Amino acid sequence: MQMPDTILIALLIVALPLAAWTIGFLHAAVRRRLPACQDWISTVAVGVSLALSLYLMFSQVLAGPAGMQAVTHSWRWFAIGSGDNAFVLNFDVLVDNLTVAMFCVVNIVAFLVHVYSRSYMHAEDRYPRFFLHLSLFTFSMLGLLVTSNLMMLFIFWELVGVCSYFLIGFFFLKKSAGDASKKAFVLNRIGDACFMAGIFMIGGLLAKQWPGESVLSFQRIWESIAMLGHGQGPWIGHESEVAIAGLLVFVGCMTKSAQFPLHVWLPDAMEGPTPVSALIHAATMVAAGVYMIVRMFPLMAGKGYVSGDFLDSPALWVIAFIGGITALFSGTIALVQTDLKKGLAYSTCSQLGYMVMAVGVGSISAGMFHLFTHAFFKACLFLGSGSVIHAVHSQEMKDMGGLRAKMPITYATFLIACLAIAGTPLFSGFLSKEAVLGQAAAFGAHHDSLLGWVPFTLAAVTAFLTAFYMFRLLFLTFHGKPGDRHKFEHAHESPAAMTMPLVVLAVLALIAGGIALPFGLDLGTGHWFQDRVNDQVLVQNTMGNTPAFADMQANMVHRHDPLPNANEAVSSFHHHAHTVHMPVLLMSLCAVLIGISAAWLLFVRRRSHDIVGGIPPLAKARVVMSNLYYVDWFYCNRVVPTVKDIADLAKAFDKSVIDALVNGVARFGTHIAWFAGRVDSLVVDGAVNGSGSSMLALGQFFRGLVNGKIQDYVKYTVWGLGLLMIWAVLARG
Amino acid sequence: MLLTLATFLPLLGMVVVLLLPTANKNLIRWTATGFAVAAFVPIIVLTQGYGAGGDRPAVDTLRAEAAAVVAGAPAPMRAQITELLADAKSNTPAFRTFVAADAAHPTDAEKKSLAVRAKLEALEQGGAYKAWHEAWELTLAAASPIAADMRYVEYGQWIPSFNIHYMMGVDGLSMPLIFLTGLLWVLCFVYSFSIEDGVKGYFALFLLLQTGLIGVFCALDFFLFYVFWEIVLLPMYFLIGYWGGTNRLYAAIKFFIYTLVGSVLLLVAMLALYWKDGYDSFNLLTLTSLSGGFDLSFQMWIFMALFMGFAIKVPVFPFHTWLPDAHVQAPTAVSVVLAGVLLKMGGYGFYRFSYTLAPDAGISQTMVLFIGGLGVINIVYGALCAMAQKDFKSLVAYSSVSHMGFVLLGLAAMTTEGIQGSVLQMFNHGVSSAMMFLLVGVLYERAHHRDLDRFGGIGLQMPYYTGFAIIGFFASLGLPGLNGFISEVLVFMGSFNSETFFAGNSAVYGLPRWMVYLALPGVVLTAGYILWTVQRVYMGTAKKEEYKTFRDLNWREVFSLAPLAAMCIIFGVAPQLILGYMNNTLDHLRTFIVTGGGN
Amino acid sequence: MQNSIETARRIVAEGMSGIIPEILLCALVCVLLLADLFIRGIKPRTTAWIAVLGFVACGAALIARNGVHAEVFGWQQADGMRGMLLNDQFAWFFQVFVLATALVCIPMAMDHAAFRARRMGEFYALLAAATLGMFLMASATNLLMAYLGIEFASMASYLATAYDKRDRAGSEGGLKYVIYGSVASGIMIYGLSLIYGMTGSLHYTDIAQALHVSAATEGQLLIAAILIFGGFAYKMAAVPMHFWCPDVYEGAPTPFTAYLSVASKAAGFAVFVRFLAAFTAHGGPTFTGFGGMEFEASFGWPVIVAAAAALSMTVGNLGALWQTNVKRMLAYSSIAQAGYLLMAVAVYAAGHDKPNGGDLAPLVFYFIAYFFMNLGAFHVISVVGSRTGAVTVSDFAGLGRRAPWMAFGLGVCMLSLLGMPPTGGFVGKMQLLQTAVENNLVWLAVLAGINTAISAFYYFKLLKSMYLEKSAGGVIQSGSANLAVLALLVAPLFVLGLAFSPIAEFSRGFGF
Repeated sequence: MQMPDTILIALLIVALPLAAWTIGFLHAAVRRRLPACQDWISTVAVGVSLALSLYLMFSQVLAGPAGMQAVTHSWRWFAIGSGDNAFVLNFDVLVDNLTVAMFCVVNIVAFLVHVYSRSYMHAEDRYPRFFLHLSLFTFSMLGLLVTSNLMMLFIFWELVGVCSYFLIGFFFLKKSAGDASKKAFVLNRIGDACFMAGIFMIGGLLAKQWPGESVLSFQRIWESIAMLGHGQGPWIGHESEVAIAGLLVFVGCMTKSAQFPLHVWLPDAMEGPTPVSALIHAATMVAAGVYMIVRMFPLMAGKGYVSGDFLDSPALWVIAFIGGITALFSGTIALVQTDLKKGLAYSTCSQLGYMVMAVGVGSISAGMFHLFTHAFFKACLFLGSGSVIHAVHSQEMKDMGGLRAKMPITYATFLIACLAIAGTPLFSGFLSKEAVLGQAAAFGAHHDSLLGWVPFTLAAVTAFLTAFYMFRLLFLTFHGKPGDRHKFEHAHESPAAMTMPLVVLAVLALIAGGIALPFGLDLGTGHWFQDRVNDQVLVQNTMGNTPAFADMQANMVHRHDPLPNANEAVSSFHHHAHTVHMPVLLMSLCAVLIGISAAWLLFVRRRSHDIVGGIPPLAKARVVMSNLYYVDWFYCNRVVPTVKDIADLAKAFDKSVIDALVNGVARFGTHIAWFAGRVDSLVVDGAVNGSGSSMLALGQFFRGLVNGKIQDYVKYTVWGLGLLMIWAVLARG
Repeated sequence: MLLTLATFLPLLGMVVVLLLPTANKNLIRWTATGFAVAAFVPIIVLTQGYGAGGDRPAVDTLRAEAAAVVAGAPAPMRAQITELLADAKSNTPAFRTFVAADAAHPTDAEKKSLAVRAKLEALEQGGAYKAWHEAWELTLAAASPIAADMRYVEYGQWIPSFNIHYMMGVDGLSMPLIFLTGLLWVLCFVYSFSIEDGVKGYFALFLLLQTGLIGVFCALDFFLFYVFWEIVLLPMYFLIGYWGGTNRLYAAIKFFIYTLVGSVLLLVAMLALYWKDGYDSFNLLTLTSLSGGFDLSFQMWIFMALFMGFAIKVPVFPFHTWLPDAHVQAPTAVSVVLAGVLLKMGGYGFYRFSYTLAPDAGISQTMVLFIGGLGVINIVYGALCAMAQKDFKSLVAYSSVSHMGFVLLGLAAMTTEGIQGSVLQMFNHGVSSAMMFLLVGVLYERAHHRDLDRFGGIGLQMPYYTGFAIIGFFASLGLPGLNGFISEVLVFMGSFNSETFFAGNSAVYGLPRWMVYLALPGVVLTAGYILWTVQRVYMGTAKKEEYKTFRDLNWREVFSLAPLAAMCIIFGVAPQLILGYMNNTLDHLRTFIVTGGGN
Repeated sequence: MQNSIETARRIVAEGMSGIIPEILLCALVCVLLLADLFIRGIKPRTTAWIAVLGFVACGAALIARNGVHAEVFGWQQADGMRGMLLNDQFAWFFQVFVLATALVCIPMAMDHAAFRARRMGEFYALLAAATLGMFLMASATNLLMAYLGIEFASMASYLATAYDKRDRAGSEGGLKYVIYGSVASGIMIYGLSLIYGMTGSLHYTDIAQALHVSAATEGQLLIAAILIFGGFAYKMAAVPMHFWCPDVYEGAPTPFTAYLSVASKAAGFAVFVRFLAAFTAHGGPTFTGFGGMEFEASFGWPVIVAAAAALSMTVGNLGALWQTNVKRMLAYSSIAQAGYLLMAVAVYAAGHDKPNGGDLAPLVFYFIAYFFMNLGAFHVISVVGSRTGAVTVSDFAGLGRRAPWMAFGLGVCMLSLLGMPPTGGFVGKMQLLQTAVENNLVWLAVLAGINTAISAFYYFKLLKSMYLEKSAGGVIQSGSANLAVLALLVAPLFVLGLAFSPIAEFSRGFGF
């Protein structure tokens, strides 16, 4: 198969960071140290990657009305078995709108972080190693995006996980860093175990249907869902299995994207260097979970995917609820954080909850949109916080305050990002959050029950919280009086290598919303994001040429512009989506305004007063939130010790039961042997000895008569016998 | 010839080493290493050749041998032999014993049997029975399903009165293990240069061990196999007992007795097979040709006896307790080969013997649940025990227990992925566990203790070493990109896909899925103990001042570690390199087993 | 009357040509005793050479008898010959075996420290006498003759055991041996009289025929069978008549212990197997009732022997575990070995009259291996003991360094006794197990397997001591003659383990 150029470029994008890593690795393997210029190697590699991504973006995705036609390619990784029992795994590659868009996001943030780190990390020990890890991470993340095979995705998924592990534990001399990295990996491993189970279930079903073909390719998964929707194909009779598999896969997403209750690793991950927090734990890796469920959206939706009505898909309900709960839950914790980075981390959790919820309520374009905008403003916030930390050498906000004057660029960019994340109109976050809220509201309206409105309610409250806690962070850091006079004196604006990325990201945070102006503000680009990134485009562009899919395509409906043949459920959904837009818009505007004002009131105007402390229920709530709702506590003090106890129990069992059994058998044997020996030597031998001693006594008696040499007697007897025999023979002649 | 060379060069090496002057330690070291390298050369040639489909297939060799045997028979008898051979397989039942036939009304089968017997008696009269028997053995061997992928077969008379032959050969199952053996020996010898006490005995025993191991993997005659199998025990006993740690004598005798119990049961099973229906054959290929016809109850107990023999070696819970003791006490290089290759003898035995000689038993529901269940227990229980260990080496030892559970799980699943993953896991574990034991050994040589709680900060002190450690531990953890991942995933995939189906007349029982779900937490536990170990040993600050004086790896240690690390990565990225070797063999093997030995 | 005396004279006169080796042994006994008595200051070496000469001569005569199948001192009955002895292949093998053992014991005795300052003619005479008794045991076809052979061999053995008069242990052992032996004889002779009562004959052939048509109750037969078995078991050193074994082995001079453990046991098996073959001919009796009570299970020789085998190997191996004295340990080991060997006899008892059964090859093969491994072990123990006074296992510490070849030899013998390839012991045991498995005595084979594992404990105790424990002792000079003997004993073990085809073929020719 001739490889299209697009694929080649995409592969190059992925391979460049790998090349940078390989150079460093081989150098280290042979020369026992990393090359001193590893920072340059890595930065250049990711820079070229970025350039190529942008090239693809402009030449392909932005070229046509619905973006690019997806291109696929496949390399055999390994094949075993034969005939009906064959098992084949391919490295399937798919490049479509979403891939390229994600490429751009990842590469932009990665490149800026590289640049930023060259300055930020310069004084650290093991400075080249940091870049080595960054390169490996960038490669893994890009690989995750380019592949269209769930198993391959999982491989890269794990690789980003391990890079995250290395980078969280970068300051491994600190015990807390070691703990955090371990926690992150093990917790992710729990999700991965479930993810794997899901993969195996799907893989098993696929391998039976299409033996000898690459198992677990996206196309086959989608096709199976399509066939299932039409009551045919390999998954008929396995509906519940498919649903379970979907949920299991989602558990993988829950750990990677830090969803409640598996989110606890992400705040701890702030032990890593700040650029890492920006790149991995805000912009890219944690979003991989969202990306994955977006790609697996048909699987999550199950049968409903074809009918167009997601509401009867159990997996999506779970996803929506988990996302909503996470958003609110983490938002409340973010309210009380005193550590700047921790505050941002919980905010990240909360925003990831938004994205997941968006997928859960059936809109992958809203989820992805929020993912993109969030990547920019959250990276900006983290890098900004890094700039602050760099200046005051502390992460605690009590040491900060009033830095506005000292660090104007940092402040300005931080403010822009804050406005964006809070959802202020004209900023990117406003648009993406509106999309999410709007979809959630439509979901509620369509379902029209209390339960259906839950996701939206959660999201709406979170919107208010977001504005509040973000500006709390901003005010505590940059406004008011310095918390630590000494540190304040020494604080200064960061060098250009650090502020430049901030500026770029701030600009992006401002304008990135322009990629999707959904409310009819057609600036010549149309609804271009939604036109390019929605489930039908993603799936159909790839699957369009498969016969099994053509049928499905015909039946499928465009969920944003209802087609004439749209069924009732879809029309209703679409109808609601339009009717709720305005109220939602107003509501969220109010939320933003109230949130920012409240923050200003509490943390600028009345900063010195502890207002919350004066209201008992709030004070109590603050205690609970400060303790992270005791979730961490539960894990660390209940779950982990229990597992360790079980392990100790197993060890003790091994030692004192299994091994003791073995030794016991041996000892039992030897005891019997000992007993047998005693019986031998005491009882029997004793009896013999007894008779022996009586015989000896007898011998003493006869001693006087004979000389005691029994041999002589025998000798004489033999002589005598012999003579008699000779005589007898001779006498008879 | 190549196999003989690979097997017996180390033995020759042992003799040469024994003849060298004891005082000249370096000479002994280099000579021994030279022989290990020399033995590795034919192995590489074999590996290359096998990969390229070199040498003629076993089937041809065996047929040629059969023809030669017939040609060597007394001339008047040849035609009759050929005539009987034409229907070799149907001649099998009870040809040496009288059929308990109702003389007045024999059934058709009995009539046929009696007719065959009459012919055989005629052959015996003509002094050609021996020749017929051998030709018959060879003909059946050539028809054996596992002969299809056998190469480099060597065949010769050894002990005619018991139909014992010197028969060696390799296929995709044994090839990777032989390769691993050859490689590990070279690495271990180089690593063992630091042994100062009893150098001569050490290297001599080590060479003897190699002969035993390569022999085990090559032997195609059950008797020959058994001899090699037992030869392995002895040097191991002395290596642990003389060069081991403080509690070495206990560990050594425990290892010895425990494995001896297993091998004796193996012996009983072997004799039962020899006796079975008067076949009088130790030829493994011949027996596999016949095994489908064994009745189920016989297969069941053969399976169990073989199982005991192999399970102890693997080791399978609850027969595993010798392993931590042996590992903790053994010197580093011995631990390396113990984990790297010796444990694989058990897994190899399952494939080569248990399932081929008792195929129906292997796919029976009882055994599937039994083996699969034990696999799950091994995985989870081993991981839990590993987590609780304070001694670095016993942690790695228990991790071996856990990892070998995958071998059982994949085996019980009887799916393509399961089986190949399981065999691949054997190889991969051979690489990664060997590496881990080397890593522990490196640290032990410097710190003189293995207490996990007393380490810390090694990562800062010995960065190069830590790099290797990360590769080794993460390979063991099953990180994608490193070798352990592929096999674990294949095994899991295979066990998930396992299902009951009918092949031929026999039902092939699948592994219940709940079992696999039970095994999955093992993955998390593995991550837990590995990362905890990495943290305790390599991260943090040095707990003792002396750790700061530790020197990073020297050239010997790098020489031992680097190839293994490279293999971890290479086979993680390109598993086809190994899978390609095994695929045909294991595919045929699986077909053979699930179709109940083709009957 | 005159006629019968005449017949008897003729029988004796004709028989003399059939017992030339036995006569030579008698002569040897006389010559040795006379030499000891009349030649003052005769050196032990000289008597040893005389003994060697005598044994070699006897051996030559024996070789000449190879292939003969003849009743000795026989008379014609309607259905064939009846004799006191039967010279056949079976007897021939065991006679050669016993003779070879005696021959090997001579150099051991020459080297034995306690013997150096003594007049040795008597000892060799006793050795020859015991050998003579065992010759008769091997070929006896008449219970009386068997009994006489046993007694004759025993008498000589009692004396030889206590030969070193200054050694208290030896005297004690000898005395115990006598007492125990007397008891055993008593038991056996009671069994014989029962048989005689039931069948009216002491000749095996007659017994077999009589039993075939006998009206004797099963209870009587059972009593007789067990009593007689007791007598044989005493000679085989098998349970339940094994108790004498440890004390006697420990007490006897090591060269004679070696002789006892090999030759005496072999003769015991020989006489027992021949008796068994006759007793169980024509299917043999099974005992299904006893004393008016009816047992459901049938019960016969195979069960008795299998039980004895199981018990012997278990008791022997377990008993050996705790022993610290090497000779005592090997005594228990030899009880266990008797158990293994009895497996083959049990199978033989079950099936020797069936078309496919009755293979004595495993027994013969194992004895050949046993000859080398047990004698080899005792040889080393004797040599080392003579030089260092080593008696306990810990005395052998560091032998691997102090006397490498001796240690190696002992190690190989231990491994062979344990049944490890590639030694003869393995192949022997394999055949024993094989014959058990083949004849549905799988339980016995498995038990033997487990026993093998148990036995590893104590065999390895010695190996461990020699190689893994350190000692301060210096190098032991073993002497080249001893090394040569060792080589002759150990090298065949490898041949038996790796190229045993000829021996296996050879061992197949010893049925009846």
